[in-house]
Amino acid sequence: MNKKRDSMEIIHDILKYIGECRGKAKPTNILYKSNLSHQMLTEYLNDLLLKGLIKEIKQDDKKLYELTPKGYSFLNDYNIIRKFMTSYGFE
Amino acid sequence: MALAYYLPNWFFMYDLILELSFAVILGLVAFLAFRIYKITSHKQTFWLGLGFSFIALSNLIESVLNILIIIKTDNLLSILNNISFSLLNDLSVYSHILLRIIGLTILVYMTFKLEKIQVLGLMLITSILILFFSKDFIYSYYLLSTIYLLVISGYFIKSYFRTKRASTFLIMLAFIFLTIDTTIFVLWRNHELSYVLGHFPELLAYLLILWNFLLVRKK
Repeated sequence: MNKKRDSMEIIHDILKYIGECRGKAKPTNILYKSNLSHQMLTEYLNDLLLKGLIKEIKQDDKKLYELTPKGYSFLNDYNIIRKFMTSYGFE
Repeated sequence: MALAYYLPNWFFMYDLILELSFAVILGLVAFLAFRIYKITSHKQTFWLGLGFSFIALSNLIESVLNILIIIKTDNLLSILNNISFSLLNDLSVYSHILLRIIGLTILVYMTFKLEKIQVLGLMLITSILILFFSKDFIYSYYLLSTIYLLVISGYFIKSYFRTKRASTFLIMLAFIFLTIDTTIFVLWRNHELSYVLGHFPELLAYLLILWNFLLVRKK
């Protein structure tokens, strides 16, 4: 059985998927890839928007998400962030 | 934590080097914490960075003022001739104590995981007033530091038993050593070697923090 993911891993998975889509990540695809409930995903996406890790774009009346430079920094430094947070008990 | 009133003369230079090294180590961790905060907006990381910054600054200012004391003692700079030795010493002691208590108070606030800045303000005012109105300023400082370090250590002990990770263990151990350092001074303050002895657990603590920093930075 897979270990239950913590919020940091979930954020990483969401950002990684959006990054792979190069600015064309649809909410339904993120939902499918992140393996979260609709409500949970909405909460995560709002949080990521608030923290400036992703931004919302409209294309043909469809809502899409793309990574901001801060979002890319998160992905690049994920291992350092993860290890730092763990060592200081911030998980 | 060089408090010249309690510091044996032969230890002065070692103390200076140690305090500068501690400042650099904490400065590095604080810088990383701020960088992570900038990316994640994780509040506790910010408070950790700020707390460590104040403690690093306390060590740095103390070291710089102690260097001035050495220069003055050696009579190398005429510009310092009008500044009395005791004034430099008092500045060194009081700035160190004030900045370190602010740093520790911020770290205690961090452990509570609160988002009420008023609580931090109240904690800071209370801590400074306790020191200000105390009859024995230095003893109160060590006592207050020990209490705060006990709270911080308690947080890291709980974190370790929750995560069971080696890195969390290093930080837990570091804060336990820092608590031992101040406890030694609280219990045996009149012993002339208590100040020197306290530096051994303190050195171990900072080496552990540095070790963890290097492990975190390792890709």
